[in-house]
Amino acid sequence: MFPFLIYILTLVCIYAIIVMSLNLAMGYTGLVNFGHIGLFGIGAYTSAILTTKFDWPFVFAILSAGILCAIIGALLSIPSRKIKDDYFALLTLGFLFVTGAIFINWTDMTRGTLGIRGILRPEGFTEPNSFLILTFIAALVTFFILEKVTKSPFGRVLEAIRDDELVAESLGKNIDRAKMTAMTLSGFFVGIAGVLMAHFIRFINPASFWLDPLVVALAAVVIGGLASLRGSILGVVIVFAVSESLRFLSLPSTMIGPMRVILFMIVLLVVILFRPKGIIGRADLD
Amino acid sequence: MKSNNAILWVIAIVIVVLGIVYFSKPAPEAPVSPAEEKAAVEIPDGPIVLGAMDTLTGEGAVYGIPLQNATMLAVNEINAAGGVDGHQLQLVWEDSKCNPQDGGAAAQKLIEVDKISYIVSGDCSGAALAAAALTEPAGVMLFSAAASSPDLTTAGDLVFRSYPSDAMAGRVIASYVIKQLSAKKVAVISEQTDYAQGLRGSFTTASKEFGAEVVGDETYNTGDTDFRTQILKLKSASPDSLYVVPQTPVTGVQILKQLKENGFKAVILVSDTMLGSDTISENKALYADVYSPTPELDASRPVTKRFLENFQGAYDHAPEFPAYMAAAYDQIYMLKDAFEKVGTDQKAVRDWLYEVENWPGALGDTSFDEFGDPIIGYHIKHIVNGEQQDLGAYTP
Repeated sequence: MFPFLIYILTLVCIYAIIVMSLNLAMGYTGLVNFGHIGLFGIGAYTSAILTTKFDWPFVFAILSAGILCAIIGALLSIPSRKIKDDYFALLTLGFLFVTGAIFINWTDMTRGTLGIRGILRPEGFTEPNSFLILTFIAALVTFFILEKVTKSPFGRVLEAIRDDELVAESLGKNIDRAKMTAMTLSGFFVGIAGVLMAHFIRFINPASFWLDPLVVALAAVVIGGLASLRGSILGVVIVFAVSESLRFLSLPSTMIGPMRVILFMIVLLVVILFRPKGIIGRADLD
Repeated sequence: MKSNNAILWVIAIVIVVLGIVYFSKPAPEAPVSPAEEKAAVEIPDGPIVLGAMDTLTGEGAVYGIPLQNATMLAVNEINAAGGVDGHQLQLVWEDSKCNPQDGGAAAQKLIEVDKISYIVSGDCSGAALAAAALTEPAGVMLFSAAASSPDLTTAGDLVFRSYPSDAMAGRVIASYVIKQLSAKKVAVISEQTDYAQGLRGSFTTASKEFGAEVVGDETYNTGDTDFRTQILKLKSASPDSLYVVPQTPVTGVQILKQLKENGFKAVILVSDTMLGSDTISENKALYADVYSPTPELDASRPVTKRFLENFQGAYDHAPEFPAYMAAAYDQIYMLKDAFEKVGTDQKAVRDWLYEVENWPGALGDTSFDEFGDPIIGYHIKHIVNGEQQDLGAYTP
């Protein structure tokens, strides 16, 4: 039982990083970024390729992946100057499709749909227990840094942009730079999460970075609540607790798959029905 | 006050995590001890519980549910006939959703929570590869019926499959078209899925090895419906033969249609996903002169006949993907035979599987190579105006 719990807790820690960083862009800054999972995939692939193909040490691979995702996150924020709200969400969804197509078609590097196998865990963290500690520390560091950022005057600028961009601009705030910084940070952390996921599962393929993780991340943000890092963590814990505990429900074998999906969705609906802003959310999505 | 709360909260989580880590330490040292090994030669009392992983939701459920049905058919038949030496077989099902993350979680749950020593799977290669990374160190046998990626060949000593690797099918058809049909220039059009890319890779490698030139190698993404660009490129390369490798027959039929519309002239080869009897009978004009390699699924064999008839009886329709489903059906019977001969110890079963020769299954006579891949004779099917002709067994 415990190794299974450790497996799930490791996933919870990785998803906590994904969701906290998504919340920085989506909850705090108001940039609905469906491309977040694309960045997650870029982080995973970068590290997988660097460590398996070029034998880079894990430390350099994780840093490179984080920096690359930060740069791409920054670039992704540029269109938000002109393209707002739902249109920005659609644009980032397009970005997710582009990254998916790259993972599938750049076969020399990514091995396409066959995926990359034999990704090793970093030395000293090869056991599931120690790897959990590594991901836990990473999640904790992410939490404290993002907590610091969101509680700072800069964090309040981000929230002002989310609530009313025009007012924020008229108060003399450089909103383009603030958005870019938020997306850079968001990209960096989700890139790190991608690296951790690749080295945890030890096998990645394009299906790992498609709509399934996006649904999980969005559900966790919505359940936990926008503009709340604690809410993000709580959201992830709830999503995993519900979906994983359904494994222990004895259902007829022919109904296991669909019934679990149905029950999971019912729980989500109930949460949203009673807490429309999420459990500890502070903002509404327009 | 708020920061105090945060600190308390963090400390609580740290304590919980460290507690779990501390208490779980002895678990990894569990693999079979010598005493247990000795005792395991006989089947322990009670039912034999097998883990079962399949894609039960999402797109992959198109394959996953039929494979689940075939697996359950075998288990029900065995239990109705008295079980394995009097022990009933039980399956614990998990949905792997055809992706590595869920495949890993499903395998981890079966290994650690259900304490299962055997996992049968009709899963996608991605989920099976992620599961193999967990089953192998835990000493659990993973038996797959549908993951055909060549990567699974080297995934571990306790990883077996009852359906042959893509590497084999690509090689068989390349050899046939080059040696028997004298093709000098070959081409391939394949879907961007792990199954199709595995076949494409083995076909192009084998074609070069057998002395042919690969003049065209086109791919398309899942969901594409217009293949004219690829077809025009392939046409201009004028190959003697074109290998069409779609993931599903619907796309494959589209390609055949557009090849015909564009006046493409070459020997057409197709992968076994396009051999569904309904697909062929509905598109007779497109299957005018087509070759395909497929594992022998000879309805005149008693065991194959039993599988096809019992499936029809149990589910009121013919198997949707006969070859894959026969492989899922076979893996349960193969494990039954192994348990009856050597008990339920994984190492003994592994050795039995490596030694078994021409085991009579619904898919054909099966032996295993040193990697746990089945050596199953391939037959070449020649379809002329919708009529299937079996050209007999073919070895490259």
